[in-house]
Amino acid sequence: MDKKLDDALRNALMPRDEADLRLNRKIVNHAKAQRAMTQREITQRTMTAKRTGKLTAVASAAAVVLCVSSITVYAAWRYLSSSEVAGSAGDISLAEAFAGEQALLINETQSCGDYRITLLGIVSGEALSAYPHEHNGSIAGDRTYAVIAVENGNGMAMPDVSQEAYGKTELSRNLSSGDTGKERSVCEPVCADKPELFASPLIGGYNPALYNLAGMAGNYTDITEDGVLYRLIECDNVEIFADHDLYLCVTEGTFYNREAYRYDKATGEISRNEEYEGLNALFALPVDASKADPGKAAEYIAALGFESDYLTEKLYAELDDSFEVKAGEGNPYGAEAAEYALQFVGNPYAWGEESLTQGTDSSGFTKSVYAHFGVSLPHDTTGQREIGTEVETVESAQPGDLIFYETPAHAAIYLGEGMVVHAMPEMGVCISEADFDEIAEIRRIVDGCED
Amino acid sequence: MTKQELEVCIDKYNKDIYSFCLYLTGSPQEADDLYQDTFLTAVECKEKIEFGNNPKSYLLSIALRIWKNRKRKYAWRRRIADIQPIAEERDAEMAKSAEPSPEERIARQEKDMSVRMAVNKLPDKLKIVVLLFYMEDLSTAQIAETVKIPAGTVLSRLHRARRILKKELEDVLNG
Repeated sequence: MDKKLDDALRNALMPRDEADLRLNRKIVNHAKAQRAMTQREITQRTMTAKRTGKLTAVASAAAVVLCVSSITVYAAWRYLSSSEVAGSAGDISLAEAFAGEQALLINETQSCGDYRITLLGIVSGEALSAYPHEHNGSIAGDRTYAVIAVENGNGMAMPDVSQEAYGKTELSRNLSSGDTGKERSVCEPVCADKPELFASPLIGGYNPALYNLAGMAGNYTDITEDGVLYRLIECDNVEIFADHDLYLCVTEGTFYNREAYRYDKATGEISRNEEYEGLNALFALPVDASKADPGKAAEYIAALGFESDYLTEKLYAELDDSFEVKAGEGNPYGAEAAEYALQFVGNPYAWGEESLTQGTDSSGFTKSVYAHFGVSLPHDTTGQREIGTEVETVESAQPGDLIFYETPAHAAIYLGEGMVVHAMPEMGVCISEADFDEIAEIRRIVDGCED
Repeated sequence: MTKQELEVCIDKYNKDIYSFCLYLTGSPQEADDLYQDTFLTAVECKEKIEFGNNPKSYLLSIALRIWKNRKRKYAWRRRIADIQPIAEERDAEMAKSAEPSPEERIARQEKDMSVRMAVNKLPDKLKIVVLLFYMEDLSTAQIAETVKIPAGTVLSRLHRARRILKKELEDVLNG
């Protein structure tokens, strides 16, 4: 009987009720406010004379509190909501949109290396923001907005956007958590340097290297609150592509990182590159497929004009059997360099690399080819474009001249007769017609630049 | 309590504390208030919570203290509020969880319901001890510490509560 009663009581009284997300978030926010107030009182008491600039001190003092203990807990309620982030960014109208019915609350977290990335929410529509994006002089009204929260898994606070460390170096700095035995009641204000992050919607079936935030008139705003970096991104409305798979990628860097993801041209599927060592979060966006508007989507794609950026026929070119590299004037290694470069056709492309046989990117290719002749070039197209002398037109270009393209930045070696050899993503080292893309600049490597 | 400790506590003891508040106050609105005030009071406390000890009983003791102070205020509001809806809500939720058969499930729900009603009818002194013992799984020593009464008193209150409940629930338990 007593056992029966005990069991019945335990069963009936088992704690099943819980406080909802909203209530917990309210408590955390209240606690934050309380703390800020106490901190302010202390500051005012101790520094009665000087009050200037103390607000930032209060803010960083509050941020420091976060990294005291090694206890880690990750739950969506500890983050600001996407609506609150929009509000903090000063966009009340967007904050309302994020709180409205058309917004998707996702709250999905992915851990990647040291990072913990949470996709909080997404909303798309016409005229949602109080600050409409201006693109090429016209107002882009139909937009998609998404908010992610980025945290460093090793417990370091993300730097305040107003702090100096912001945007300077990459985050993946490992702090040894060290002295575990001791309790540190007061913690040094160690803050991670703010990483360069790239977060963007991607569309299945459309090459992510082109169709990403940068290509789709995108923009972002960063907010740091309590050691968490919130990024509000916006770009042209991707909901019209809802009949495709929609994704949101987050990587380090300022641009889309081809190495971090795989794009299957045949199926259109975009996936994480499991071998990639670094941050490569990828969320699926659960957008209602009925929101798709194929007509509008086709129009949009045509308007973007990426498809015509690379003239496919010109990109996939071959040299005639009779083709010969002819030596030009004033370009000491030109013909030799072009001839030398040709032997690597068919070798793989690899972003950031510069091996002619194992993989190289376009500027790595030009750099390594010229290195063979004792000419040292920097490994970036911007730097390379400062070397040598400028050649006005492709008609006056000679073999070995470097041809540069923009958006995306790209470099090729001129072969003569309107042809180039270059390292092209997804194609490897290949032959193309020089005007497969709009030529931005032609440079001749002359004697003077030999080191 | 630091903010991080607060977050850990919310994450870990959400159900324990909230359920306790709900049974103590008998209404979701009051439970929300009490739950929030409990955590905020804990944050204000300068003294460090010993995480080796039981932070749950610490939080429960705060909840109890606040509730005792406000009981009168809560009490008159309680007369207006209806306890019934909470139980119904919870039972609807429970109905969703997988159970052997519909009949068994209903029988069990009815039994749980009767037990909760019986607990609710207990005088506060006894109810608190019962909740801490059966709901929160505290030892009698921990209860003594939390409620700040001698351990012997805890035992005698538990005993009295059991006797009342046994009598009240005789049919339910044997049926």
